[in-house]
Amino acid sequence: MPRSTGKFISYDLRPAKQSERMILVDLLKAGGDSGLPIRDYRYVGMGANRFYDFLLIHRYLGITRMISLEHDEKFVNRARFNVPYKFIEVENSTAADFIAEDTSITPSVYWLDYDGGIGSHIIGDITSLSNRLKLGDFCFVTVFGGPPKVIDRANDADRLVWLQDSLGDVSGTVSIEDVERANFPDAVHKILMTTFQNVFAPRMDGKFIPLLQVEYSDSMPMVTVGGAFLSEGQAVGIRSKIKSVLPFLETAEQKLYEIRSLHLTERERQLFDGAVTATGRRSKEHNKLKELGFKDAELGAYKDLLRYLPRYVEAIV
Amino acid sequence: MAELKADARPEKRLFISLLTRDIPLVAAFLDLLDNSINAAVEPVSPRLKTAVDYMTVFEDADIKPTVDISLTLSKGRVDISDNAFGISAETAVEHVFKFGRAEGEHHEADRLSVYGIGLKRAMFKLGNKIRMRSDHVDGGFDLDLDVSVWAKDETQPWTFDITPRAPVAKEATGTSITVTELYDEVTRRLDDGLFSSQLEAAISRTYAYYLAKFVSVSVNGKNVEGVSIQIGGNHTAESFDLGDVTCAITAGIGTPEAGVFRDRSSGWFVFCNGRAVISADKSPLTGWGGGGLPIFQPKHRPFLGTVFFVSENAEHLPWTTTKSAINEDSEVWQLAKRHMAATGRTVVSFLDGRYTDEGTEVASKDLQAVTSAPVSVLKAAVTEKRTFVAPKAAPVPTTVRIQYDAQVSQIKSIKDYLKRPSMSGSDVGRHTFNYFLRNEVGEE
Repeated sequence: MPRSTGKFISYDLRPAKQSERMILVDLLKAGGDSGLPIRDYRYVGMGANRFYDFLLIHRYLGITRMISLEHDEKFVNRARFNVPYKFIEVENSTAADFIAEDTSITPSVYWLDYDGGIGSHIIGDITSLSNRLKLGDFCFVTVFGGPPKVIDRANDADRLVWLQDSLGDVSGTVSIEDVERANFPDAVHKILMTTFQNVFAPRMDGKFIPLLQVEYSDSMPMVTVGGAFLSEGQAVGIRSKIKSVLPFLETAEQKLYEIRSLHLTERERQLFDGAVTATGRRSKEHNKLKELGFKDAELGAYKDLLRYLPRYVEAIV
Repeated sequence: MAELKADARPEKRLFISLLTRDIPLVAAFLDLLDNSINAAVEPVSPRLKTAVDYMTVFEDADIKPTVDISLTLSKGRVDISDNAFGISAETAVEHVFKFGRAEGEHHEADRLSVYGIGLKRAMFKLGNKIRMRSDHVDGGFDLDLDVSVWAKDETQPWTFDITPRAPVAKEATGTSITVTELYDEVTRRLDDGLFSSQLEAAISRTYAYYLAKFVSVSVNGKNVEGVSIQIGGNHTAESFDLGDVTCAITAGIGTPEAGVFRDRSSGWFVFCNGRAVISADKSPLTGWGGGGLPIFQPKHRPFLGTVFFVSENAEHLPWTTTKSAINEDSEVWQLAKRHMAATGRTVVSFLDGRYTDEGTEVASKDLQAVTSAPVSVLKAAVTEKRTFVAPKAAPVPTTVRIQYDAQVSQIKSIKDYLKRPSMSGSDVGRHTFNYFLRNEVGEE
């Protein structure tokens, strides 16, 4: 298993991860705005010891039914010690076991936030969830975007063979170019999208609508794919909300959005803030940024993520 | 003497249901392709009578793909078109839309068109609205069929209304079919995320021979390449004839990819007139587990066997009407199965023998070396009768590696006792072993 970024960069300092969390929260909020009773949902995640996603989801959405899955027995006590709210239950369970035994009828948001690379257990978990999800439920999966350890040093052809043999038909659209190290997030994205599409295809009572397809890297590439199981009417409503609130997310086609890490100083951020919110295109902040060598693509990325990029300051607690 | 006549007419609705129920969607698409490929092969089909002929044609550098087949799957619609010779209005009236062939009806040029049912079945399988257009040098036709309306029409005999089209130049011939109002299960399957790649894989596997020489096929604009299967040069090959069917069987060791013998490339592959009918079969159908070969196990994964059936009369080949399965009761298949068991046995015995109580005697990476340079399975199928020669087993080793765990404290005790603190763990093991040999066994 690759080392999680959180294990060697302070967990508090993962701006891309934090942006991803904020985007996901906004996406769920859009679901609420389109008529889903998000506040009454249950959140099932993998909070580890920090529970950042749990904190945000409670703070911004008001969800109070929360379950954190911790598969490693050694960390359960520590996780239980660190829960920020009493209403968070820590279950010593793998995602597979939890899904198999879960009988709750409460509408749910599942976020399976894996540290490791793509593998058959992840495909299996999504398959199990496809039988469990109810109309209106959300499901997101985060996976390491690089080659899994077992094929990390393999050549491209061998990587492709491994994916085909280990994951079967869901890797059918992955090309030899996709498995190059630099492109591997594309392979992971295709596999996850195909899996979601395929496992929900037999469901006649709704359709799985992909709402989130993002990649990001604080030091290692990660890919998150997910969406909601919706009726036709619900799908129209939520898509329209997302289009207005999160216009950079593609909900109709397979398209991976990169949450870029811009590595800006605070003074540069002030210029960016001014430039992307100015009414005219050529503001003085814009001109200054161009003078400093920033490109339009960076301004575009910043504009997309304006509301989601965290600001870190030193504080004494 | 009978005085009354009981109504025994077929119900169209039941007929359509029976016809389409037993064919998987992928196989239905292959049925559509069969028609186009059959047409593309027509000019050389008189040369294709035996497996050797197929090889000769394959190696004829003057024969190059001349027909393009395009398959497009889009929302609620399927389109397939080719630029082959087209179908004349006359042929359409007399043959193409007839369900099945009349007794004795045989078309010399047909290699993949067998029962006279595939095209209709495939169209019926897909959807309700069918538009077919064919341009031919003698004049083609248009067909506009609403299946649900046709199914309710009780007029006898059954006919399709077609409209003649003017003759075209031979460069402008071809046929196109568009199916709309797709059935729900078809729409769902086309939209399941896997179908397109599964179809491409099936085309690549099924028509490897034809893709190389006669046609190019694209699915949603993407060209499909034929998959090449190779077998080690050291293999068993034999053949037999039954009536006008010739059968060539080979068994040997396949080719590893990424250092492994892949499941998809292992087992038996059966071809009828160059078209793959079953691939990588490891079931009792091909003799595994009771038919002369043991139950297939992972250690048999290097096994690759091929069976090539060839006949000028495609109806005599042992394929079912869907061409995706074997007619197990056919005489030629029963005979072939006995030959397959005999042919495969030497290879399977060799693979079984790789494993002994001492471990793996021939490593996977060495298998290729012992089975010599690989050749294409088609080439292997037309070689003279030969037998797989099991490579000699490696000489029995004279040493055995011993490994065991011991308590660190006990090892330290021994080192202290011997007053040799710098001894390694293996030195301690060797010393105590030698001590036992000298003092208990009495060997120096």
